[in-house]
Amino acid sequence: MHRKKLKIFLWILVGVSILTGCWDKVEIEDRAFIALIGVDKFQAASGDKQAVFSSEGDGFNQENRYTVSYAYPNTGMIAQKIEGEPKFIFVSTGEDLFNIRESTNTRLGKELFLRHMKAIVIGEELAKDEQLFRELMDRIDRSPEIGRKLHLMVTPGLAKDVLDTSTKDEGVLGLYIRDLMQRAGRRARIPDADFGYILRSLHESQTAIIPRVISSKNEFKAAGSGVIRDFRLVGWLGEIETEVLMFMMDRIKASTVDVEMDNLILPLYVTESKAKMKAFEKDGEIIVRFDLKMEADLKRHLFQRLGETDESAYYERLQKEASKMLEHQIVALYKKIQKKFGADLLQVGEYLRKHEPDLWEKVKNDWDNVYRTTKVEADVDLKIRRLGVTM
Amino acid sequence: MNFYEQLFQKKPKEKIPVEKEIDANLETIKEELSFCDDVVYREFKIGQKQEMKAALIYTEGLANKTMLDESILEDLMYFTRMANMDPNVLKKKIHEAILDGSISVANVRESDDLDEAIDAVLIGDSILLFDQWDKILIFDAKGWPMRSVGEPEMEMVIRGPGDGFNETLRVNTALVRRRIRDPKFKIKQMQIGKRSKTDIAVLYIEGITNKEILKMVKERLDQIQIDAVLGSSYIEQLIEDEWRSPFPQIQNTQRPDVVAAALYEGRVAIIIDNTPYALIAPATVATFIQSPEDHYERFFIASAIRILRVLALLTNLYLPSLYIAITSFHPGILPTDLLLYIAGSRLNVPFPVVIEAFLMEASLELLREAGVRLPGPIGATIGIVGGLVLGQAAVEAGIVSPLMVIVVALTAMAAYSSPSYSFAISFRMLRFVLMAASAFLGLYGLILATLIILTHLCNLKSFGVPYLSPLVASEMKWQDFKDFFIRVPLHMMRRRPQFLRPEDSIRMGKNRPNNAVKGDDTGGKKQ
Repeated sequence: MHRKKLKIFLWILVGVSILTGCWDKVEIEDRAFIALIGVDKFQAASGDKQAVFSSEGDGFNQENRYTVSYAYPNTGMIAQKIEGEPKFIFVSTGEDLFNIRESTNTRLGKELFLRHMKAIVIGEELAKDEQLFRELMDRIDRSPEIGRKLHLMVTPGLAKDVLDTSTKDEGVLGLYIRDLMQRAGRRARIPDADFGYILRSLHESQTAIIPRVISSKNEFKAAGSGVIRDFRLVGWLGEIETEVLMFMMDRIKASTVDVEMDNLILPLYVTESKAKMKAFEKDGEIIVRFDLKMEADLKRHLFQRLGETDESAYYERLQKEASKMLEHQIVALYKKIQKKFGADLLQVGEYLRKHEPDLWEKVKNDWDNVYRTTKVEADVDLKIRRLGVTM
Repeated sequence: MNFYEQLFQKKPKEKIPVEKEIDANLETIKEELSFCDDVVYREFKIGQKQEMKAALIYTEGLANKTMLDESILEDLMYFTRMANMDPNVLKKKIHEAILDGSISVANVRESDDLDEAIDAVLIGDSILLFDQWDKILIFDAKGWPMRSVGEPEMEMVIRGPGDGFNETLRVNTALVRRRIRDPKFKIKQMQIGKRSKTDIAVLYIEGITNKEILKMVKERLDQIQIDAVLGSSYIEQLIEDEWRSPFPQIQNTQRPDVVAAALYEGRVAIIIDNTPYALIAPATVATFIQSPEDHYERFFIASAIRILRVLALLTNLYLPSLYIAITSFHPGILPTDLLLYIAGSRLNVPFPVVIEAFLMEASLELLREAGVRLPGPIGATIGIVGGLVLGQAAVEAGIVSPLMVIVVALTAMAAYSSPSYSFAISFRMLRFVLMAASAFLGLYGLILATLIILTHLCNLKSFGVPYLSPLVASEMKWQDFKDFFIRVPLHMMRRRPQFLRPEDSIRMGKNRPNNAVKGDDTGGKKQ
């Protein structure tokens, strides 16, 4: 009896251990750790829409829709074992994103591994195509391999060109982007927007901003952002606009603001920023109000500044000037987003739904139009705390 | 009869009676000990007129000859001749005269059993026979070559006593007795081994040690039927609870202070003749992660080092298998930069990680084995050749990756930092099992194997005490955690370990002495 029980137990144990484990043992050096992917809309060179690698004699021709570029680092060079190119790039075209991944696997000596992917760069053309963009987002959203800390970026021009950029001090472009984005909280010329935020924002208000990346031959810059509305790219925001937007969304802690006063350009380094958005109804109009409390350091003035008798009055004036300038920028930016893009990037609708349910009930069916009529107010309270070493 | 008397009562044995005639006795002994050429028979005559026959029997090499010459033979042969005594009176009162007046040896006893006398000769005692007297004098004049009491080689401490056990039982019990002057500290001796007749001493403190544990030790010792006991591990293997387990269930030590500390906690110690290792039972996991030094150093550093030791133990067990599992199955959980480096360093290595790991671990074990067998200076050479040269060459040749060498070296270091050698080697063996498990099934297999080991550990008991105490639910008392992963200050450890169920669990008064200087209100500042 005892022996029989033991036998059954052993068989269960063997069964459990053999049948459960994923037989996915692949040696670490046999994997290609994709660091960066660029996705472009397929553009035929000379009008043909045939697949580049479509096998000869295949009766079922596929229509190419995507061009996907995979970049992975040369690990041998990282470990200082071999010399050569710092990164490898593979370009594939195909009808569907998943198919492309599978066919790339057959072309590569290594197994594609996406869990360490740091960024996906989307070409402008693809971002403007609603169908393709939605397919792409769903593919990423659905994949268990791809994490939410990924950086989704958009580039004017081709994503492939971004991948081809040879950066001087950093071989692995994906890691470069990751490091760059980690510092985004300190100087907000790029939005602090990872994939998790983008997905959430798209779900909530069908709009989002995506960090923009610009590349030339061997230079590379991540600055500004693209505006997504209704699942396609509708326009760009510049660097300063992005910065102001980040202040409004309360997503950064520190950045630099240049203020012009008395024909002097004075850089103020903002060390603290707290933003509050409120939306309420007044005289039949919806008013969106931004209250910002900021602290800043004065980083530069003139050497041997003379003639100022009342210093505190001067700084009072500077504070007011800076606040006024920011208020102007906020109002202008809000109007631009509202009028030009019609995108509720600041999620006013979401605010109303959560905080003003009665008002939301009234406007929710016609929110797109109501949003375009909202008024904006801004109140910035900037204090200068430190002046640096002065005489 | 109380509990202890009942427990240690002697079993009746068959006797060989002593004859009156000395020649008959001598004949019996010589027959028993025929062909034992190391036994010396010295027949002589005593008395003024040399009218009385006597014989001294001892084993050459085990007896102290100087003592025999000076304290026995000289007294008997020389001084009795000068004593002006009536031979008839002398004859009648011979044994009183000798026992009380003539033999200047501390430990003398009478026996009427020839068998006991023969055993005594083989132990190293000397026996004295007289004509016309049916008793034999057995006296303790042992003296054999032995190592002096020196620093133990295995369990070195920086701050702590430097004496260690040697191969002589009596010396060893004395070393412990010097630390426990309590009359309640008992040393009960017995002999095990039909032929070897090895002396075994059971040490305990009456009133602290749980009677059930003591009874279990004694009963298991009594059940041993073996011809010879050649070392402490013989006893250990025969009385431990579960012989199939890879884990040692009895602690062994060369240090009398460790034995004393264990006795004060309520454990039982067993000291075996001819081996410098004492056994301590029951043993739990906690005993194997403690070093005597923990209690000699300040509690901050002692706690920190003990935590380090636990980490080392886990490293010893898990590091290679974790490396295999992560590199072969789950590269997703590594930080990207480290991952890329590992992938790069493994480029062009011809073996899979598993083979590489087994190769390197096996060669490390080989190296260790070779180092142990060879004498000191050559052993060090082997270490350099094997460790440095071979490791370096293997990496440069590209057969193994440099990270694997680091993993193996770290594992080895962790293995040797363990205070208990026997515990560390069982972990070393399990390491290979875990490596195989993770080679087949990755982290999943690793967890599976860990669960099996843990299940076994939860079931394991040492003399009725759960091996994982105080981690198991039945023994979970917060006081016992004071000396487990950390060591709290001494004055907070008021109680002995509760899982040993000591009869007296308090070992310290409630308050720490108030050492603050009174009237010092300057706050330490100088005026």
